[in-house]
Amino acid sequence: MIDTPGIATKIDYEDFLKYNMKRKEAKERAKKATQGVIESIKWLDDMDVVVVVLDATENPYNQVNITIIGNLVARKIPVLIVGNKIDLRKADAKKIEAAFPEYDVVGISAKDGKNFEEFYESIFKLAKKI
Amino acid sequence: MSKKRGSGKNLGKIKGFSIQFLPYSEIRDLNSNERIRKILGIVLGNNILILQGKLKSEEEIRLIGDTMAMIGHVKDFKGIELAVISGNVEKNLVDKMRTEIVKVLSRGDLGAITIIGPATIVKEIKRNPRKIELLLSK
Repeated sequence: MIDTPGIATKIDYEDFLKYNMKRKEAKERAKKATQGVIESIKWLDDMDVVVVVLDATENPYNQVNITIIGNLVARKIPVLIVGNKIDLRKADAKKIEAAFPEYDVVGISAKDGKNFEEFYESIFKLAKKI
Repeated sequence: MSKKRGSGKNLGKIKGFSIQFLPYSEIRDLNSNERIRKILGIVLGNNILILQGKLKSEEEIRLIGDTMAMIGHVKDFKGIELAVISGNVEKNLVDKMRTEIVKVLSRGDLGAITIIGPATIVKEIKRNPRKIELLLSK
């Protein structure tokens, strides 16, 4: 099991400035982020299943490039989409299901362990298809 | 593509962007390296590319990797926005077979459209099953 950074298509060091970082530090963080994405892409060839974790309290479209998910499927890598933080009132796992109707979606709370059984079962189900 | 257009000199200046449509026939006979080079040339020239058809999945992921490697090395380059819309929603086996035959004959998925733009210009591409929205930077 490998935990990698998400695959972004753009990285702007100015986004890091919003977190009170100095310009030089922000540029360094952005550089590390780009290297992280490159590493993640390299790992993809060795993946049996990919679990894409989203924040269920945020707009799903803003968190992941839908084309990248399609790309994983085209490369015959099964994808499970997980909506985390369903313990929060603001969370809306249905919104994620609506955004990704072609994929398996499970809502979980990593904080209190809610729905983990369903999460594991979904991974096993996908793994069996390989 | 001229040196000036591909230099990334104009990146980030919304004033000079343009939209380029590339028919699939322009990339059909190119190998993966040439396709990616051609696309990068267009995007670095401050253009939003609308490509007929779609890249192979390994080309798509390589394009993302290559553009990531360019961030920090090409002035003002912050990556790309990428979206693929496929018109091929096969409802049954016959439709699926028909689509596959067309794909083989045309040597590409002509039912799809790929949109690629520099992130400095294309702030976000919103896609849902009914429409695609390009949000541009100010």
